[in-house]
Amino acid sequence: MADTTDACREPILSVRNLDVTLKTAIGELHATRGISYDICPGETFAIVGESGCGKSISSMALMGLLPRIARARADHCLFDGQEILSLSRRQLSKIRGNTLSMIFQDPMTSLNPVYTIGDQLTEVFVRHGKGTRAQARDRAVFLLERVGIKNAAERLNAYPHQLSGGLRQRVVIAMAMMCSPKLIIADEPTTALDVTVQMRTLALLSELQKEFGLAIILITHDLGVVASLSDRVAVMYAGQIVETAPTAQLFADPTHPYTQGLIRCIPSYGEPHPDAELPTIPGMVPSLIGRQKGCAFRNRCPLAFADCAEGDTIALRETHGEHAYRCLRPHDALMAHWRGLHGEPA
Amino acid sequence: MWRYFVKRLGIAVLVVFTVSVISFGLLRLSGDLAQNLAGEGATQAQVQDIRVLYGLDRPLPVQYVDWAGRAITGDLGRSLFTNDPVFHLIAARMPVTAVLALGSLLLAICVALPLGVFAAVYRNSWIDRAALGMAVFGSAVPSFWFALILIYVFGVQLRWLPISGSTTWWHFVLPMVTLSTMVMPQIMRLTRGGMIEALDADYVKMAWAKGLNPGVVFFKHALRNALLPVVALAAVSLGFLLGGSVIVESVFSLNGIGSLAYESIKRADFPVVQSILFVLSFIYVLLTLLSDLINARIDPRIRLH
Repeated sequence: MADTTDACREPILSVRNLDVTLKTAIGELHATRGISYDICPGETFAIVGESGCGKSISSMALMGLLPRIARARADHCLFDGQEILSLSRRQLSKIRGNTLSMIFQDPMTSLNPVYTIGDQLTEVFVRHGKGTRAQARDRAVFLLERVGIKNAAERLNAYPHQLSGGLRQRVVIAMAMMCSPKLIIADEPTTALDVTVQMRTLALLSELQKEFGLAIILITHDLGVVASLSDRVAVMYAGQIVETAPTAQLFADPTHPYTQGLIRCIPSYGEPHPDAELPTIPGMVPSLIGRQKGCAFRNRCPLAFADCAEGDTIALRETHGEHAYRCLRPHDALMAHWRGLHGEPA
Repeated sequence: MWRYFVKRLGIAVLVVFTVSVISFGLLRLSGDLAQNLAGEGATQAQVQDIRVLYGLDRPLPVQYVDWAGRAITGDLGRSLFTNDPVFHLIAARMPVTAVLALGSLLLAICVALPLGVFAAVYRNSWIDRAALGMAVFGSAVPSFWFALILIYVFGVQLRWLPISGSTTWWHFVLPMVTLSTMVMPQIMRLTRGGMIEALDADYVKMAWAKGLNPGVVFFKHALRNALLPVVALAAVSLGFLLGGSVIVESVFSLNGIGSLAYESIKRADFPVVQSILFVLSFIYVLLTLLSDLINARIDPRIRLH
């Protein structure tokens, strides 16, 4: 399956068969199973899925920020040519915040309340030996202005509580940019923001990406965010990537029944009547404790049949281009089902 | 910041006034002062003479205003027993108690703060359990008993340290160790609890994600947030140490405020008792004010209130 996501010659990040397990009182929990993807310089790769599907923890594993009960294993996890899972804490800390940085979900809590934003912006620059404190200040002012904060030089002396949520997230974005990273992991960067601020923040991320040639991993549960920002998408369910495709293609031809369900659940996408009930995917996510057999989605899948419970795992199948999905049903049958959902003739 | 300071100062003045009224009233509720002074065998006429002599026959508010009016100018009256000005008596004893209390607090902080930080960082490890064990020991052991054990081990058996008096710095070591074990446990627990909370916070995850060194993450980003309640507790502890060193001062024969208070209560020397109560509560209020100001320095959000 390695070739399915091989979109460029020299990916900035290449992950193969990443497994994250957590030791719990009731057994080993498989948070992610066999996650593989490549990310090219300058592209946005979205990982989408519901809460608990393993999308956040897989990126925490890359940052070396897993909780103590968690273990990560992979065939390889190459970032910028380095195997990051086997780095020591000291070596890893030289990468974090430097060439690989992260934007957290909640800007209200991810800035330290007792230090000025200037202090928090400059410290990462000085820590990674990018220059003096004065140079760090200049860089901070430049970036704050770039992310659209007025009076940037004065704002350096402001404390987080003096800024609104949207402004704080801009500060967090500027902080992630301080050392000119090659890859930013953005974990639900707009979920905690007002809807009006969300779109502006996404537009800003997109602009910065083009301007500085960043690659972005965008972790989200919001397909609207995926559609507006990403180049390629991976849909995760119960710790596995169940479908991956270029963004436009995923929305045009969603192949896996779970992806189809997700897209159908977007309001105004498949429902012509405003007062009609919104569709949902019935059932519950399976327990991730212990070994999983067959397809994890089979209990909620409208197309499941006996074979779905067989075998260790369902293989990822390629359709065309870079589109691949993890389902036993043939592509034609799945597409016919999708058309059927819209009342078109099968 | 100035508005905050003026507001705090105003509250402090009100508290000092309230405390002076309460301490003045409590002492007079504790029994008939004239009767106590006259002694058990005194006749009614003698008691009445004493009552008039010290102005105790006047209405309470008049007595209070008379006393408070002079206390503001620094005149705390004279001891009934030695006839010395109370101000001088207290000033003479204060250095011993101040050194003892400050030293004990400093010692407690120097041990409890790093211990609390390490206990939180290495949660549920042996270092955490050892720290918690020490905290339980420190809060459970009575200070007079612990003082006697220290005297026995380090004074009598090992002969390393002097056990009574206040002539050299060495004399303060055992009393300080005794007193600091009384306040160390709370400071340690509060530091540990605050650190555990801070270490789980998003801004600490962010600090790790920025590639900062563990020392910077723990001491710059986490500890400063965990410190607010610790500062408040330290100020309260210092007040407690100033007033609560009575037992330790008597065990180690130190001539501080504690022993002065103890002697004066025994002699029914009410101007001295009254003044000690007032001075200690005054210092207590000052310390609380100081801790508020330190916290406002630590946390910018407090300055808004």
